[in-house]
Amino acid sequence: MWAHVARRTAMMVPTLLVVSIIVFALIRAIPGDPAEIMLNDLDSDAAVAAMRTELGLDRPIPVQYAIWIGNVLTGDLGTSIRTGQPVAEALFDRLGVTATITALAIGVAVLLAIPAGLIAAWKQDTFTDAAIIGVSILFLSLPSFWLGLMMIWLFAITLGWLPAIGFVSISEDFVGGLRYLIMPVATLALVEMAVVARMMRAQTLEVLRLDYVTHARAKGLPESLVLTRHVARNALGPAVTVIGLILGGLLGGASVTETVFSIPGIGRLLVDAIYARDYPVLQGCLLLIAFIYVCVNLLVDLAYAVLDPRVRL
Amino acid sequence: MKLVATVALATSALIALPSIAAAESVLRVASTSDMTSDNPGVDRSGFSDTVHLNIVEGLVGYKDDLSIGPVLADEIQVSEDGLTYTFPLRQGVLFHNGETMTAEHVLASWERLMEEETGWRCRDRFDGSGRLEVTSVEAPDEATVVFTISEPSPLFLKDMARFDCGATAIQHPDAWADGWQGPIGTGPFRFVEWRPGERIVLEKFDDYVADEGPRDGMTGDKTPMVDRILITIVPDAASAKAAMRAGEVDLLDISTSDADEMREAGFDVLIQPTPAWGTFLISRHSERMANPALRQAMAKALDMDQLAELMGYEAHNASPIPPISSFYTDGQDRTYGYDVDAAKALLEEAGYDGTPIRLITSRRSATMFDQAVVAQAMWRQAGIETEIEVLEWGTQLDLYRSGEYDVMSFGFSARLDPALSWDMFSGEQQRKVWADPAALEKIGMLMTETDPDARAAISDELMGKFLEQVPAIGLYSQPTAIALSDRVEGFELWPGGRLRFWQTSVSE
Repeated sequence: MWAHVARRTAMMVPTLLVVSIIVFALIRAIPGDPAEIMLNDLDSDAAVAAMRTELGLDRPIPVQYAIWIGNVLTGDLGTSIRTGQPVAEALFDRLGVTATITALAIGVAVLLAIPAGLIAAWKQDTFTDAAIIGVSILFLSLPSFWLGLMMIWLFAITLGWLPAIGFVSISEDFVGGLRYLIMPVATLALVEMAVVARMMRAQTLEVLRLDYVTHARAKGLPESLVLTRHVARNALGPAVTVIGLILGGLLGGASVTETVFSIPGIGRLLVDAIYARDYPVLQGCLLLIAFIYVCVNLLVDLAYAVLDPRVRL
Repeated sequence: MKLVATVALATSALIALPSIAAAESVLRVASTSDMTSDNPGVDRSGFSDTVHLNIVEGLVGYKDDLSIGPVLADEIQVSEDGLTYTFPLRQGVLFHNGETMTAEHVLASWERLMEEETGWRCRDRFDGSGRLEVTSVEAPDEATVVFTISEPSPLFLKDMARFDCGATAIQHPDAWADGWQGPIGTGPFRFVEWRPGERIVLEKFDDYVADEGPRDGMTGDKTPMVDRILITIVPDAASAKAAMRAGEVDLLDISTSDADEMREAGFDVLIQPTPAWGTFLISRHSERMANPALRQAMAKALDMDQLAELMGYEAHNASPIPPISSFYTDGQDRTYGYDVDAAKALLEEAGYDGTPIRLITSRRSATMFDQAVVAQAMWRQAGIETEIEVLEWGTQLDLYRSGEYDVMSFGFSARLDPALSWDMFSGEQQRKVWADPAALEKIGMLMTETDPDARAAISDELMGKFLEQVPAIGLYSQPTAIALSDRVEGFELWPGGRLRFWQTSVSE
């Protein structure tokens, strides 16, 4: 297994290199010039030209890439065109925020969705099944920005229980920080829970039809043991893949939720960088997101091996 | 059960916490924009300027009537030939680090701004690469600074006071010792913290030395009256309004179209006309739009009063000079004349065959998009077909710079002098829509003429040509709107548009 991990880790390098080239080229292919956007309608052509020179945008694109990738290899991701903040610092700050919310949201979603999917399948075609599926479809159908705004309306405006905007890191003030996390985490968890629960239900239904489950029941095992020991574990595989994809997606930034709740996460950093054509930040974000996906995929593969002893890496 | 009880207890403890448990007075501001840096006049944006101008001050500043008054200067003395400006400094003014401001600090600040590597946005206004050159800056004594310029200019002081120039801030040299360290100004608030995308915190400068006279634009009494300004960055406008309704925000910059909604929700709403100008630019690089009859038809086909009303504005203004300016004379208060029949006749004269005209817009602001949609309907009534292309702002700016469009829904930020108002869309550069040699000559005269009456006459002549040639269709001077909670006292908007946090208090 360790050889597999080492091989996959080594494969990250060419993957990320290809990603870096694609990202670098595509960003520059879209119209819009960071110097023009920064200077807006106010400045002279000379000022735009001076700013392009200052930002190094007047050099040929391959030269710009060579300089950037050279710096990246030494750990320097550059500085933001828009704010002058070092990109690595911005990514580190924002990733911490996003990772906190993602971890909590995934945790809540998994804790609720796995049992819900299992029960829905076990109680197939009953009211419980219909209720679980109905709620799942409802949350899947609701746009996250609408769900977020409704939460703000209910919990911040109407009840006054939770703050509508702002963010306090839990590393600075644990209890205070949690208050700011409740609504964004709930918004993400409800939507993602629906996805996982439906996947878990479908997979459980398949496993429940298999002969070894009938055998387990026939030998007199209590239903709870049949479900937890024989069904759940075998139904988890595809759900883990989905959870991995969700994890990668959320770590890459839940920009809509972050925008609605004013959370300074990686998603907002990415969106702001796109609008400002902040090339260094954009490149750094996309490279980081690619890195996260590669890592999550590796972890999902490893999880398969743990969950299903038949899988050999 | 025990677990459920524990969770319930913890949850109730969390939600019972007060939002802000502070004895100090805090003005809570929400902004949909963030700063781009804490370096005034160097890395800036409209919102950055707002924050910076509460922290730093220059020798001069704009007043409510958009004329210039002293700020750190005690007075402004201009020599008879208009070439020498002497600024006796106000005495006893302190920097945020406690040191007293002297002429030496003014010289050091000026030298730093004029160094190329500083990247000051307004360097080209003073270094001779434009019309004007500051030929010398001297300090005959500790309390006086003398600027000498190359030719008389009505713009010298106005450029010094410009918001995007950071008001040519006088700062303590420690601010840039060993690289940029953060602003050390003389303003009413000290810079405390900026967390990009999250919040900006300013703190009352207890030793602020206020000028005499009432609050007047960026001049006069600027005494800070709250302990802290907490600016929370809320990128989503709907969330920002929700936060205000939840009682978490005291001051919010809103769209004028939201004014009624916020008033109904019980907030005070202030609306102030500014020199920002909404327009439809007509590219001079478009072959089709080169026909003046077609341009005139487009202008005459718009019911300007209705358009302004639909956008939530008080009145139409075809002129780039704002009505609040002393240069807004009867000569500026003229328009195209809404006349659909005349528009149709002009279309016939132009030989317009009904081919759709490309109308570029974006959702950068609601107005920029909405005015395009409303105008499209009005043009259709006159038989002018337009095809709206909604672009992302960066892409629209690309087209603006290149002139590769037919018509563009656009908005110019505030220009505070008639020469700058006409210049913003006139010239030989690709992006400029008006390159008529006679008009450019007049604008050149506006740049150097110092007599206000003569300048007003030139500006009026330009207005006549502008209405006749229609290089752009002027729509309105755009107001700014602010919603205030009932905690806020003393806050006022002003024609310059930038928010002033001084002379504002909050009640508990």
